[in-house]
Amino acid sequence: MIRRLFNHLEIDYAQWRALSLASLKLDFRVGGMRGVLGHDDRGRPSGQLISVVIFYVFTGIFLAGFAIMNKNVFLTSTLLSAYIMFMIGSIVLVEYNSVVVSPDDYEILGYRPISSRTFFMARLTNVFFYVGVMTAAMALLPIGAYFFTLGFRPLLGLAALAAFFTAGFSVALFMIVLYAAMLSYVHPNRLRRVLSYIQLGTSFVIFGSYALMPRIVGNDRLTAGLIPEDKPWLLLLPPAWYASYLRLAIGEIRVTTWAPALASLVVVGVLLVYAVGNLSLDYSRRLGALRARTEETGSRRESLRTRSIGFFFSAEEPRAVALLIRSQFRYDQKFRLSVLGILPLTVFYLFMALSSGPIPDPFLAGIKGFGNSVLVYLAVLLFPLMLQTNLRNSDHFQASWIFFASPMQRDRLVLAAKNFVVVYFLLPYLLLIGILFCYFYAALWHAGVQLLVLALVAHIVLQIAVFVSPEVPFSRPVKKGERSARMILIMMIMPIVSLGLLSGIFLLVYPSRLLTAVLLVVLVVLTFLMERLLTVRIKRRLGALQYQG
Amino acid sequence: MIETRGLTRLFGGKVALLDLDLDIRPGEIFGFLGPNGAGKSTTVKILTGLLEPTRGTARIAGFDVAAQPMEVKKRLGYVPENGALYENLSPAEYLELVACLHHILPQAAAARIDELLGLFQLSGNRNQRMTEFSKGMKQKVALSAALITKPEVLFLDEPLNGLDANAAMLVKALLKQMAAQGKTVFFCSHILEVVERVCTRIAIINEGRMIVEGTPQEIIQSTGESNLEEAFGQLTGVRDAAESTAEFLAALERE
Repeated sequence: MIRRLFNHLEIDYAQWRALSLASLKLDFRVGGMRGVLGHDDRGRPSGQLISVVIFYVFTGIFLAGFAIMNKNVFLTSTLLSAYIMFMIGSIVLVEYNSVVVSPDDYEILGYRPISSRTFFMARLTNVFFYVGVMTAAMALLPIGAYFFTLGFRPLLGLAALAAFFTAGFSVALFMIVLYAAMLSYVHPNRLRRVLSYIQLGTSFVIFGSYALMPRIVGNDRLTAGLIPEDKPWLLLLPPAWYASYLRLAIGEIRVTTWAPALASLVVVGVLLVYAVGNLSLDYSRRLGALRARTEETGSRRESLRTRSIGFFFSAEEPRAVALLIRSQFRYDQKFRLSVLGILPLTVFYLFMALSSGPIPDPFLAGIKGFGNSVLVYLAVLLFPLMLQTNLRNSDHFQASWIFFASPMQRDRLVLAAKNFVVVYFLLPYLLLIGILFCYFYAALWHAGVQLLVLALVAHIVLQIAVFVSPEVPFSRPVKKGERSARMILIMMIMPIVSLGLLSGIFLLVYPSRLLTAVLLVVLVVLTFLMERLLTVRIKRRLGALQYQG
Repeated sequence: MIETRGLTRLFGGKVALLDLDLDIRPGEIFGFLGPNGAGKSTTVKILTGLLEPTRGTARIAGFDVAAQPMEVKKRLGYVPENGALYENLSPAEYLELVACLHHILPQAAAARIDELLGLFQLSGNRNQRMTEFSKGMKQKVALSAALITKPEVLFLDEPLNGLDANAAMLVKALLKQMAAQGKTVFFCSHILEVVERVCTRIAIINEGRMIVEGTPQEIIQSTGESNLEEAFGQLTGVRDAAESTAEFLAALERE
């Protein structure tokens, strides 16, 4: 049947199958469970995927519990759809959109007799494979729960199955179509810039929705059980479209249930028709043009002497690393998109923190009124770490031979990558929140001390991350799933650690000036000690920091 | 078999290839020479459908490269300059993929894979991932992938890169036999002794423009030099090598 459908769509079934299997084989062969920890993992199966799946299955247990405990099927399924859409959206944003817009293997396949549609469909299949696995991991347990939420109701369970998978695939399809459309409509000369704007815009939409969801849920009318199930504005809330499937399954058949469900199917239908229609027709040619543009850009020569990279990176290893990171950001689309997918999170954390009122002075309030304001502190600790972990991998990792074959000190290279994040991300962010602290806190010195503590703790967190997994920048191959796996691990583990640490400081240390002074001294000493330890550790691990090419 | 008219490619304002006219017949091994950045790879990429020309036309086996790309791609084999391969596959897996993309039936594909791997002495490595291969071994796989489809036209961009002497000899013999069967070979290389010995006709391009075309003997005679290497140097304006290197070393000493 698939073969017949593909023939109808002018997609070569045999080629599609061969390409899809080959791409999965390639993905699974680069990676490994130990890759997350930074050891040599060539040739191991894709452990990143497994670790993410395990994590999602665990979250699925809680979601299933939520679905069973709360008998309001519409509310729970709307929230679950929103959760799935957010998670799939973030994964595609950070990692999988580049599968479609990357011309990397065009040089291998571009001269083969593969039609544009077949090529596009193979890439779409690759993304959908991961979307399917992730959605299944997140949703299977909650789906199971819906079979029993209102007594044994198989139809409700099946509706949940349809709803959650359609939600996951819809958001992925929407993003893929958006990026591929850019490839089609934007001139290759401008594509890099436009894709960057799109990435920023999409991440604002995704993380914005994530930020807004708790507010909608926190709305009294919703939580008090006065769920506006029949309000027309629900059509503006896509997760509610998919949740409507479940309402239909329990026999609530009226305009406000079938219209949102129909809307969801129409959107998917339109996206699919567009994707396998006009969009894919020109895909291959556009990819070729993008490849040509990459070569053209790469052939331009720029004098190194004219490049200013900043005072901290003016010479030797730090300069080499800073130049490399800057060039990677300019020319490596995958790296650029992954960084641009993370940066808007900082803005949202700030927005969410400020939208709940002034940031309380921890010297006066302790952990009282922690509320959303803690997000400001979390952002300082989380995002530098996320960015720093992105500096390890590149598709062009083979070019890192230069670091291994030249008389450079590898410990200085590794530390320079960490310092780049500190200087170009952590410090500017601290400056921004420093202004807010000065405005909101009761005393300037409170702001100064709090800022210093955050800066030192954030730096120590980075040092610990490098200590655990020291890597020469961009010296390891990109493994599919690794970026999103790291992002999820950091987003899950770090808030718990950070909240514990900050609560302790706010409760036990800040009430006493003496203890505050001691804390600062301890943190400064720890910073220097860690830097020393790092150098020793990296030098000891030099044997393991081998060229991977 | 290969015919181009006014083939031009600009990168921004920079000319990569200008008004290239070629007529290459079946059974020819056509050497395409030029200094680095002369436009050889750009030409090959246009002819194989990897790049679009800014203007001009190209026809391969009677099909227009721009208007009928699929027909052209079905008939060509290509060994790219950088030997791009899926290195996380084994040679057998990669060749199977290529065979499948060209709709070669599994049984025929399996037989051809065995023959090619045997020919290039890779049978013992057929299931080993290519990440562990030397440059020469990867080049042998790239050559196998170009040959497995039994192409009518073969584009080779530096095909002897990394090959050991035995494999290089094998490839040269293979090209001659393929030409004898009526296949067309488009051969880009910097190894002028090989080009002089293997190619039936040669074109030299410099800065995107074709400056001379003919048999190796015709080109050597027209320049009054004794071999193709010297003729190439004269035509592409290369200065005396000894003089240039002496100047360079002197400049290094001054620093």
